[in-house]
Amino acid sequence: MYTYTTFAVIGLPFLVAAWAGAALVGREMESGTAHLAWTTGLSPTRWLAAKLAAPAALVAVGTGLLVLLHHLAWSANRNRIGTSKSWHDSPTLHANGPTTVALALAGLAAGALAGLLWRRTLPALVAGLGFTVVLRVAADLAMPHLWPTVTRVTGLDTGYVMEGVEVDSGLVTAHGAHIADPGCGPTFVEGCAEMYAKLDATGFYREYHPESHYWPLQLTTTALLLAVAAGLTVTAFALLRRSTATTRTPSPTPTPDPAPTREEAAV
Amino acid sequence: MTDTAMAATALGKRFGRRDSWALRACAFRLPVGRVCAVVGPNGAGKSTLLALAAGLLAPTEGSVTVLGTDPASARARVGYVAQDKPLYPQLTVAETLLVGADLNPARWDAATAERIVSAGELDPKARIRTLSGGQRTRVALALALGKRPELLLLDEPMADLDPLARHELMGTLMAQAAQHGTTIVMSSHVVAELEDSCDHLLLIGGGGVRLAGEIDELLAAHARVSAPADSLEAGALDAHTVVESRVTGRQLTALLRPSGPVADHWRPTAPSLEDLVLAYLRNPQAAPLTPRPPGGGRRMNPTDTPRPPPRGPGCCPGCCACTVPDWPSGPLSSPSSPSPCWRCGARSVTRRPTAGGSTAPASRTGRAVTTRTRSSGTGTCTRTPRSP
Repeated sequence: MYTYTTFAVIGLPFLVAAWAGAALVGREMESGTAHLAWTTGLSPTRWLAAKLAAPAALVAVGTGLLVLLHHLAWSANRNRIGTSKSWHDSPTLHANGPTTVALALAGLAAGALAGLLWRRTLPALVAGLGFTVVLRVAADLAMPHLWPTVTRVTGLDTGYVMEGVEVDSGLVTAHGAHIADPGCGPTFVEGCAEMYAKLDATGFYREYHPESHYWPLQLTTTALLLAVAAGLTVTAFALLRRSTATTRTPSPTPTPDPAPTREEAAV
Repeated sequence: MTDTAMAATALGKRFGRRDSWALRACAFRLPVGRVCAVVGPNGAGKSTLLALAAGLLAPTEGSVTVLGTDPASARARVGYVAQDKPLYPQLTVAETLLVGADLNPARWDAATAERIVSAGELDPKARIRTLSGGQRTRVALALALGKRPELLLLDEPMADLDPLARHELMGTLMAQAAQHGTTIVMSSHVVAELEDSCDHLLLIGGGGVRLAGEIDELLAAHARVSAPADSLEAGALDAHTVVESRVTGRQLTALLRPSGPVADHWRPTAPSLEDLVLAYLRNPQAAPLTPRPPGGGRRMNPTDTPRPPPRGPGCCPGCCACTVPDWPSGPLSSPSSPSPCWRCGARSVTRRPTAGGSTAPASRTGRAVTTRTRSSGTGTCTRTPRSP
């Protein structure tokens, strides 16, 4: 049950992106109702602003609430049930924090941009969804590198320290150099002590994020995703302004010579 | 307040990166208060031109001005009905009109919009998705006219209307034009549909303007001649701009843009609008005829010199062609040649000069705006000075 809710929460941004691409913008561009709005009294930029503002608020508040509920549910059974997920389990990590809210907003912007670019429902749906998936994978990969890690060195007899989000691990030599771990295990495993002696290893090191890094990681990733969302929104508006007529300052037109003016009046 | 409803200078629109220009080097000027037909074959760029004027597309090159400003600033004063008449399908007819009222609080004319809808016996509670194509056209027109636009751009507005509704809605449009001075620009590829209601023509072909001007003037600037082929000495037609010439059996028929008097034995007759349009469409190489674009834009025919101004009252009073000194149809052969109104005989019978037939000089004094009465159908060409 917990897993289902987790996946529902982290799947939400993709739904938002697909909906924004297909229903919000793509369909209006395809059926021409966007053009109807633009000629009935809403300028294209105001139209897009209206299209994005209310959904953005709704998505931010709605996803925010769901994430909060998920966090409550997760912390309620934390350390009580043996199978409960740790804080750094990837789906739980995202479903528990504001990264999902930011990704949903980025998905909204990506869907809107896809709708403006492709101008058709189905391609916009696919493009908005695809871009959000790419964004999510990229955010996942970038997240551990957005904050300085903690390095813990443990003795060869104890093995690695097992907690948090790992970034790198291996053996430490007597000179302090970090080398790859041949994967033998602690020294009490037969034959490993000899191997470590040959490698001149003195301990294990592990670069990782402890739980105290939870908020820095969440917030930096959120900021990154929000920046992407803002960039997509700006691009969408720029695209719309470029593809439609926009108010411009009248360029100085050369004064026509008197003859044509008279003729124009006669036409 | 400008007297130009719509003008284009070197207007071009390309779709995609490839070399597919929908419009190229378009230049024309449409005065305020006209009912203008935009005619051309399928894919000629009619819809692109209207979308550019409505501010839905940005031109790739050149510019289009609408009501004296750029299309984006003029949006509130321009009504537009797209070819496929898009409407929100989930709304009812009444809700659609409410949306129009909400979006145009300062200008909305609820009475006109409701009158157009109720004339079609539409149930205001009917959802748009349940309406037929013609009924949707009616709602779309109501939405556009409810805005009380100064310029109404209609892209094939009558295509899916039955003849009765077509007649009725065309009447509504003409009444609107007459009552509020609305400029109407409507595209169609059915010339006959427009001949009775329009007084201005914009013929688009091959992505450019082929003909532009008042229909009467365009017709007056052309002559259809017909003579036995052997009665013509070689090169006799070369003195004029030949739009189209065909030899059927021993008979030669040609559509000319005369640059001087046409011999009587060629039996010149007035072409119909359809003749003219078809001749130009069949002959893409024929030189385009467009008045000089505003702002000193480039002329289509740079070798032309302005014609001398028309003569006095002897020159077919009331004939539109006589009041236009700047037809780039070629210089007169000599100053002693007859007045430029050489061809008015045929058509001036049906024209009614007003104000004692002396309107021609008045219309060139600079301020008087000329109009045409539309009520009596074809053949009228009365010019009445209108106070600004």
